[in-house]
Amino acid sequence: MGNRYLRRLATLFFSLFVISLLSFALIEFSPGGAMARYVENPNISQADRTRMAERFGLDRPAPLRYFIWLRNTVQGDLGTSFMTGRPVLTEILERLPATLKLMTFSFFISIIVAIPIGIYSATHRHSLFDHLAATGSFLGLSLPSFWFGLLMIYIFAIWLNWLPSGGMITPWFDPSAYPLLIRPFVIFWEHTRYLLMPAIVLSLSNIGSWSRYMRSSMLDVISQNYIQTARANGVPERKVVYKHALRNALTPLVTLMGLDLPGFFAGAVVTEQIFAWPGMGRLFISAAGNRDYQVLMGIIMITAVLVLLGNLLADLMYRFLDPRVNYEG
Amino acid sequence: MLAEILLELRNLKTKFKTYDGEVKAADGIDLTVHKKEILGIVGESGCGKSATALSIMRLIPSPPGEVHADKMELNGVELQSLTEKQLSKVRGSEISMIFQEPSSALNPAFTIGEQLIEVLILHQKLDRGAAHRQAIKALNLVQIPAATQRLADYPHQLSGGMRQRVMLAMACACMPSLLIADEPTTALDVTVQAQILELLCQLQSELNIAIMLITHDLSLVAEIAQRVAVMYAGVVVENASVRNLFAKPRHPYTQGLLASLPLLNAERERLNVIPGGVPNMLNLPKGCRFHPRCPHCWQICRQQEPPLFSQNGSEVRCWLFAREMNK
Repeated sequence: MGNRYLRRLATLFFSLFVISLLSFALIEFSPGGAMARYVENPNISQADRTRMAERFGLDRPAPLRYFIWLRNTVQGDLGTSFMTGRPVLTEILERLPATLKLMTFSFFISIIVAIPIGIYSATHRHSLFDHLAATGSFLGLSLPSFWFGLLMIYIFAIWLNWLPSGGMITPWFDPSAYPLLIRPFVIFWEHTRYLLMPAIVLSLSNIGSWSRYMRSSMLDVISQNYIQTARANGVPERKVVYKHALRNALTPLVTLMGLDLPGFFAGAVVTEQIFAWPGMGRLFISAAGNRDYQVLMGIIMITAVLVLLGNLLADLMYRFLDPRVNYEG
Repeated sequence: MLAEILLELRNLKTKFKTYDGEVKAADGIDLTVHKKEILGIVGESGCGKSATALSIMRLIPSPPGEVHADKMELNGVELQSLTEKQLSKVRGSEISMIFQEPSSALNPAFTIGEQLIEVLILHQKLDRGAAHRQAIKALNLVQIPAATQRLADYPHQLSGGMRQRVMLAMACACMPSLLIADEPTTALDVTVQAQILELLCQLQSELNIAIMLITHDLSLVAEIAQRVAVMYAGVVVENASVRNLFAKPRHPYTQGLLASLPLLNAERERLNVIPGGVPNMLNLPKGCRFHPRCPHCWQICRQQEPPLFSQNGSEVRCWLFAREMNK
């Protein structure tokens, strides 16, 4: 039992090592380099650039730099940003909560919308709703999020003026201006109205793929013998679907959710940019634009850790949902 | 000997609409099950045995299935008139069913106890504690050792025979009057088969349950059933007491089936087989469904479907008996 988790943990660290090596190499081989953004600047001479590169330690050979980076990272030091001179970890930790808030909200929207759609489509196969859901999910999968996001801003922020077009909170928002009784609701709505559009945009493709997956998984389970047993024993149809079938149909979906986690981070990069959401995704884009490689590496590693932990969690969930998994040794 | 009628089925028709046409899985089935009897239903794969059973359970999915019978009464209650809610009260408490594959017939995500207790709470309105005690009793009834510990087991932790016992425990926990056993021993190995059969007999005598035993194995029927209905291509071709059927099989198909049973002390080397194959259910032969394979086929068999001829409680669907038996 414990041995298996140790092995999982070892795999996790090995994956992180490989990810760091590949990302470092990718950044190293990309054209330009950390000093490229100063080349066009007439105020910075060639000598200045050399001096700066020396100060950042960029004059050393790449393998050596990687090992220094690795040694520092293992000790919890992700280095300093070339741009701001602040520690990378501080920069990221400032932005991470916003991204996690957006992702968690979007994750729940995806689950709450996709699973019922999938179940209903499966139990009412070939109905009008099923066809509409199929069309909807293909749209959701294929609509580019930057386009859909802009469309939403146009409709709900500019045209209807219901929701703010971007940001995370109104800077002068003061909950004490409201009576105590409704204050929690006001605070909740203040947070939600900013979250709603970016979270929906981020959920869109997941709702599309998860609802389809849920449908086929449910159809697969519904035709199993044990469902017939439950019916033959007089279990009412609602309970057959929502207890006996759902528990089994969720198992493969949990794996898919784990696998889709990187998609959330990738999607967040675009979504945060559109809605001016002050999260890690925007930090990533500006760091990439500024060739702030230390920050890029930091974000990649933090993301990798979160994704791998998410997959570990999905694995644990899987074991909980399907008791047979525990016995595979 | 003739007891009260428990289940009466008249002219059951179960059709499935497929892309290739309409398949009549059951095409006018008449069956009667008396209280406390074991009725064997014998036939090849695809002859409509399981479709008949599922039609009685009202578990044929519609669409594509369509079930109609002139009469389908259990204890005088017309099953076709029941609402879905009333049906779920009947299923598991009045009629229950066990299936061929015990390995896939139990939900892998729940323990034996959870599944058993659910059924008990559903039908007997017990509280958890009482249902738990009742579940242990049910497992004891089907002779599962260490019943209390088994309740916490998941289906994959049990052997095939044990799973079938659990299925039986679930099916019999609420003392149904009819148990439909659809090929209950086909997937089990021979020694376990014998144990399950013995258990079925025991349940029938202890709980006074009538059992409808669906099988393709005539020897199994000979062992435990009192009456046999032989099915062929969606109809009952012969219906008689076990003794009569084995002593004097009337329908040529029954004769063929009996002749194809391997005999231990036989001198012949090869098994007898019935020539030809099961007809395509989409395109049944005209007249008697069995006529292309029948050694006694004559003119009328090719043109007109025979009715059920009956005499002294035996029924046979064959023109050969048009004169000696009553229509």
